[in-house]
Amino acid sequence: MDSWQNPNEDSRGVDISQIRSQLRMSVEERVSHMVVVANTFRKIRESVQIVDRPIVR
Amino acid sequence: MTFDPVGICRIMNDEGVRYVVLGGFAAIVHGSSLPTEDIDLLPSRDDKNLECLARALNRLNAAIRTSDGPVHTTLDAGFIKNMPNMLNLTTDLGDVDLVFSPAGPLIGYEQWNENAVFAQLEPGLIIAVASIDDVIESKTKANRPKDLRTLPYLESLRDELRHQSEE
Repeated sequence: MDSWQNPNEDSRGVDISQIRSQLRMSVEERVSHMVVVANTFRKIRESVQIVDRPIVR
Repeated sequence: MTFDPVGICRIMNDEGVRYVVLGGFAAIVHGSSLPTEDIDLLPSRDDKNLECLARALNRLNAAIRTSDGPVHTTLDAGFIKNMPNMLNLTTDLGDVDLVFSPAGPLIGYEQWNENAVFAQLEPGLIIAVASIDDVIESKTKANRPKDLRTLPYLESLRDELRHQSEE
């Protein structure tokens, strides 16, 4: 295994620990979690601004 | 606008719409953590169901989603019936894609519904969800970059579901 590889990844590069974590939740919990994530992403996209690099004195 | 797929399904069920949930939201029900910001629904195309669907869409204040913004029109059963493949909508509870001819070998609501699993989103709210195999097959056949990107994850999810069901 290369040093940069995540030991939880399968042959497709997918982190199985994340899948197992999802599967430990009920459908209701999973959907509720996804809705929070989707709405959080949306809010970030709507409010984010790219700004100039701050001047460090 | 807040994305509320549970609220969308609640109104669909309340109006007695028969549909199967496909795509990214179906994958989430099966265990995917890949986010989605719309819900894909494959409704039965019989006249009575399209009337139920039209009532639900009106309650959701649905409008046709275009790149220039929402276009409000009368979304009645006749209008929906004339849509051959899909209808992309925006609603008060988020974007809804009505998919009448999903990619893949399965044709129409009846065939997708045959393999569907049933999931409870909240007490009393049960929906039909495309099987993970059918979601993967459809995304594979669609062959769009955005679908192909999700396939390794969904295939590993399917393998894990099989592994857990064998234990």
